[in-house]
Amino acid sequence: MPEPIYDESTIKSLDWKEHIRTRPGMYIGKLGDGSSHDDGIYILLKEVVDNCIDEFIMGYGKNIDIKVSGQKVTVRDYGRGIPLGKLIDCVSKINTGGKYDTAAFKKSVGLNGIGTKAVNALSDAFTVQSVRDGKMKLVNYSRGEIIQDNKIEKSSLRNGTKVVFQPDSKIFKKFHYLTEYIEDQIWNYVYLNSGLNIHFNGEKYFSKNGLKDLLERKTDVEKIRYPVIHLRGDDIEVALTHGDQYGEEYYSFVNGQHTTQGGTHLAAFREAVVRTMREYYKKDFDASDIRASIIGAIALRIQNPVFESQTKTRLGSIDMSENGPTVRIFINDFIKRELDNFLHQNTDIAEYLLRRIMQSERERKDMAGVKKLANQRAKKANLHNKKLRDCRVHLNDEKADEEKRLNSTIFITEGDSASGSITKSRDVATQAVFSLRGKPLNTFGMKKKIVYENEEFNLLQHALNIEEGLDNLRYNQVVVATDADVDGMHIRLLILTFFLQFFPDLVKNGHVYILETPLFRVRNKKETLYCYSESEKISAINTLAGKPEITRFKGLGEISPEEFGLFIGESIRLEPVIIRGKTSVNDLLKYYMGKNTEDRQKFIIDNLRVEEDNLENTHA
Amino acid sequence: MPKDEKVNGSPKMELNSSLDENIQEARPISRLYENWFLDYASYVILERAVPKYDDGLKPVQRRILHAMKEMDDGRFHKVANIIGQTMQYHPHGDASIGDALVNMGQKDMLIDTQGNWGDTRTGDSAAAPRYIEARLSKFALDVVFNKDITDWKNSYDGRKQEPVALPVKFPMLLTQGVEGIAVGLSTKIMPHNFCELIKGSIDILNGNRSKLLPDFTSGGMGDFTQYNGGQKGGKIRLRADIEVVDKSTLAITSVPYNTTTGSLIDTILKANDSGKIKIKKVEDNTAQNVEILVHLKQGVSSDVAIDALFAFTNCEVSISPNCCVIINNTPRFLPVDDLLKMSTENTVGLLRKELEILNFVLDEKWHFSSLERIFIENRIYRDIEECETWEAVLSTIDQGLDPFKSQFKREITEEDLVRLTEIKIKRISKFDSMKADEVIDKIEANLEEVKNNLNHLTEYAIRFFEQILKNHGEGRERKTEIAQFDTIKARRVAAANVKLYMNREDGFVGSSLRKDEFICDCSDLDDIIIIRQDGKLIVTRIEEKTFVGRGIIHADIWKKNDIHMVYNVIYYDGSSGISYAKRFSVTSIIRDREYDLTQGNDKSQLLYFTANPNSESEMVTVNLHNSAQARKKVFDFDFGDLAIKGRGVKGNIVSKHRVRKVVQKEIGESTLGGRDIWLDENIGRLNTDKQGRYLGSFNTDDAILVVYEDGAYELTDFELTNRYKQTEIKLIEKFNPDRFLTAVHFDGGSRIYYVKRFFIETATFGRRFGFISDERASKLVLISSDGNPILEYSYRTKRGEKKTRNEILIQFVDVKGWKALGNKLGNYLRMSGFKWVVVPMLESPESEGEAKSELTLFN
Repeated sequence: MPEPIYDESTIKSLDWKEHIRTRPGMYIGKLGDGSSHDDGIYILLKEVVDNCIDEFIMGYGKNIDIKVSGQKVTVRDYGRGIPLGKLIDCVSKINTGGKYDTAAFKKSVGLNGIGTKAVNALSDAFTVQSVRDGKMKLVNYSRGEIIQDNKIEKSSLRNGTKVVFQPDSKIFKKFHYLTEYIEDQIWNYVYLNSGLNIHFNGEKYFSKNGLKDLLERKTDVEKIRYPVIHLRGDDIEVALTHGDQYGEEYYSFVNGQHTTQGGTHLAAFREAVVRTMREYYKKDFDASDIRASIIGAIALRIQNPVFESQTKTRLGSIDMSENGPTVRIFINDFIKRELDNFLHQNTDIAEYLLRRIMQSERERKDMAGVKKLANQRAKKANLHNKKLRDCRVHLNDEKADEEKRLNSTIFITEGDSASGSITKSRDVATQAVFSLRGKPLNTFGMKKKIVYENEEFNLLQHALNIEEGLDNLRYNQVVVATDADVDGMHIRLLILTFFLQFFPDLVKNGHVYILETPLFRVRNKKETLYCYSESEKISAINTLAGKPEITRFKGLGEISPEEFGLFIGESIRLEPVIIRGKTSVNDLLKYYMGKNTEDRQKFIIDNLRVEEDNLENTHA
Repeated sequence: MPKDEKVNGSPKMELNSSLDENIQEARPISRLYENWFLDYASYVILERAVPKYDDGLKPVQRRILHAMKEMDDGRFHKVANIIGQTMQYHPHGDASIGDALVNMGQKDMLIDTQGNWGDTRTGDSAAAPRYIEARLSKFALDVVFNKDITDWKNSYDGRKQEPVALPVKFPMLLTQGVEGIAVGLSTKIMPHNFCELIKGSIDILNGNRSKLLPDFTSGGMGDFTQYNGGQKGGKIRLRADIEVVDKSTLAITSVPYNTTTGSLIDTILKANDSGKIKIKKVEDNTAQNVEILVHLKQGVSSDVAIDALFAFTNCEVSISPNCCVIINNTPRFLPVDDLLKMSTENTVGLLRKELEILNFVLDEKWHFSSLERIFIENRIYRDIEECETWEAVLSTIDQGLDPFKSQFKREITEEDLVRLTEIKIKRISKFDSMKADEVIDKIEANLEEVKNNLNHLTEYAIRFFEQILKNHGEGRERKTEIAQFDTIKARRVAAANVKLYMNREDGFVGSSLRKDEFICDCSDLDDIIIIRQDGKLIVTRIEEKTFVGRGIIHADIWKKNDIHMVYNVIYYDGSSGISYAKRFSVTSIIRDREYDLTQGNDKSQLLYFTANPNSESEMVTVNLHNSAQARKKVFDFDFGDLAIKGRGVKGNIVSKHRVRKVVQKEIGESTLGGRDIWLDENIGRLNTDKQGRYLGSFNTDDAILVVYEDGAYELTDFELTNRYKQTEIKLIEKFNPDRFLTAVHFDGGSRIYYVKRFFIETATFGRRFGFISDERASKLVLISSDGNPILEYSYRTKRGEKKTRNEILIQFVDVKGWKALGNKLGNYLRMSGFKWVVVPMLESPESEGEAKSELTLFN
């Protein structure tokens, strides 16, 4: 065996774009195919839009146009435009930007000047165009390389910047943008920036009441216990209300950045709310009673925010500014003052709130008996969770590699049909398996007690580590992997109902997915193709000339471990479970999982699905 | 979008609002739910829980039958093997198949069983599949299968074929009944009687409508008045047979559908625990027949106990049928009679298909037999000896047949020719024209018959059904007696299981106040009426302890619609100072609401109060306050002057002055008179709801006279819980001690007819007194309580002439004691046709008077 060479020739200094392209995870988190809200392609869009927002904050350009068609993204703002002379530097020279020293950009997020460059480096085609006072410059790139550098020319266009990019299909494989995720991003921009209009694919997005609008979009207004409390101050905006769901639900932002994993500001917010209410009601409520079923949002602007990761999903800043108060004290003071005033002014709301807290207290005490059992079980599960085959890296492992953390996945499988083969074919670093036995209970209408009483649910809660909320969730993706047959559909209903009933925030935060598995295998002697739909099957038959053998998969048990490796590997297909703003989860569950109604009976009969006699599908 | 910009030469900066390429939208959760839900619900409805109308089978049942048919060789097979065979078609667990098979076996229709298949009456389960055996029954082989008219589809793994539906020529679904819970809907079809279904089908074929009622192999009684064709919304009630063994023992001799002896006993014990019935012991003596013995506690009336068993235990069950079947891949809800009609039409269709196939086969047979005969008789086979090629052989035969071709019904094909060449020499040499003609004649006769049947399909179908009835109908007669049940008021028959107490001062009533004032025994289903000093009235459920307000002056059990309970009240009106009197009854009321007996003014209160269970009026003495300005300070007040009204009336003024006290002077007469009682002869129960025959108005001491077929009479009280078996009773009416009875009876010893008139002299209630001789052949012929009974009867003269005779009995029979034999009724030959002559005009003045007095009481 030759000695590994280690001399001058092996030492490489990577070009900036090379670096980004070899280590995209460092810049944009995980790659993904767009079925997850934190997949790379959405980060690319965000990086571009962030710059437009910064211009808006500075007072230039109230409108931003965004267009996504297929894989191509176009973003146009009406700000001042990037200075034409430095246009190339701004999008392709690392550590270049206008936000370093200027007071102008003190409270912005994208100050490290990497964002647009990463987008540039990770795009098949990237075009930047800037218009400034009658002059215009346009540059075309491909994967960070200049293709065409046009001279400055005259223009009658309005000032502003336009960026067009198409993510690199070599890095983002088979990706697709999902409207819902982009919409969510856009809504967050307009909630946090009153006065901003965003036009996305012809629709106008606009918000007058900021975070209040956000909460009202995220919840069913009929189902909240009292009107949203909305408080605004310098550098801070807060909204909160209580609903009837289990768990806590938060939306936190720093300088316009959605911190999905919270951080110091959210911790302070939670603390402050508890403190204020205890003082207002002059009663030492349990913190969990006050926060149960809360729906809250906080947006903060601070100088030079520090995040715990490049994807900026968790705030780490201690102080508001260099010599300012700490984030904790700032938020505490604000909420203590404003919320207390509000409650004094609106005694009826204070009354509703009190009732909600007392209800939570009652419910918690009801569970006290069960908790004993739960603790015993917890001890046992801590020692060994017998339903779980765990992976090595978890979402809540602070020290682990970020890309791996974000890729951490748990498959919830149906009994014996797939546990074995998923276990055998999984990537043990990031993929865990939890096997259910038989059909889980229908939890609709049940009290949370059942999560402790039912051993399987208890172990699942343990595996996910969500008893106390999502803070320490162990897997970024929770994937329901059932057979594609009718009983599999039923199990999907039951498991989803379980999550929606007791851990709605898990679903709302986009952690839950359904694993799609192929319906057909089409093969001849040389090649094997797996098809996920009837149309894919037909095209596969055309590709493989002659008479290929077609197998219809009815259960995951029919798929052998080697095949399964393909389905949960790089080309895994996940269908995200998305709750749209206006969906009333409770009504949904009541309709499908509740008691029989005439309505539902009629619906079933009118929409009955008859399986056709599949004579031609069978193979010899 | 800003629109003020020009586009000039340079690349377009602005975004087009029209989309070049749509971007993907994620399916929202509601779509996911809808999708999964519909997949699952559709499957469970179509492929699991609901039977198909065509053959009345759920998929698992169909597959079991198909598998058994494949295995069928006349011998019993181990059930484990049948399950294995079924699994080729049914991709589910073995347990579900085994259960379905055992279920079918227990219905004893399609499957012959061997070994311990369990018992639906006791709930014992079957032995393990490796022990027990099964085979298709003769009946199943007769009506369920026919390969030629079955549609087939691929099995789930594509390896085998299974029937889409079995060609069942019989309304199987309705015979066996079915129950299935799917998603979003469920089905519950009752079993019906085999013979009645066949008769129903025949009725339908004859153009009449059927009217089906359920029948259960478990027997018992059923009230199907609300059956509603088995559709949703209908309801049937089933009762176990309960016999009175002796005064303190009842025997339950059948269990209702879907109930086992074990579960039934459990409900009895539960009712006993909660004090609803009082029993000493329950024993399960079930063997060949169901027998559960219920030993009653002393002092419990068996009539009440039977009612309580029906009211509080599974001795009576109520089932809500919901007939749902899959027709053309859609669940349909329809009445069972429609189902029978469709099934009958389906059977006719299947019979036609069978006949058509038979027709075709016979045609072919006739064709070839004729061909063969011509071929041999005309020695066409000789011509082919010369031929050298195969083609030549065929054409030679064809030419040889040419002259006869007109005799055939269809073209002669090459296949026919080939078949002719394959005839064996032996057959040609031994050919017998006579025999061949015979065969052809026979085929023709058969063909004729088949054609005839096809032309008269309905008649053929009727014959087919009659044949089934003849071959398989034996022992399948109706088991469940069709009856009409009374509704048993649970409250009336519940045993008194708690005691009612009250604390007047503190204002509590309840069953747990043992230290306080005892009121009465009652059941925990009872309502309690409370009247307070301040003139408030409340009705509430009995609980352990209820606060009803301080100053209770009256608390008692409250009976709804009891107009005989009349309250007499004098109250003081706090605002005017006037005292009023009123009489009222409380017939209906909302629980737990306070009602005012006064006018509701402050400081109003009751001065005098009595509760009178039989609407007694009374005379009271009113003492006015000393300070009153009235001339007469003491006077009498007669409640009899007041009409009985509702509780809300103001009442009549007693005095405008302050009243010191009111004292009862004397109790008056009942204002309303006795209770009107009717007898519902269908169910043999008394009621006050005007159901059935009016028996009369009953006061406390009145009785009912019952004369039985066996020549005994009995006096009973008029409790509404009494039951009278109408089939054993000759006469039942209100007892009038002043009336005599006239009886015509036959003495078994002397074989002579006697007439006697007698008064009921006994006063004992609830005991039977035989008033005819106790010879074996003795019998009671006629009985009447008419004042002037006229008897008509016929006899034969010595010459054999038939004569009829009328006899006015009071003229020659004296009234004697009830034990007397009476007078001989002539000595004629072959006396028969005894009946009372109805002479409406000749009613006795006595009964007329009574009718009148009743009328006045009524008003």
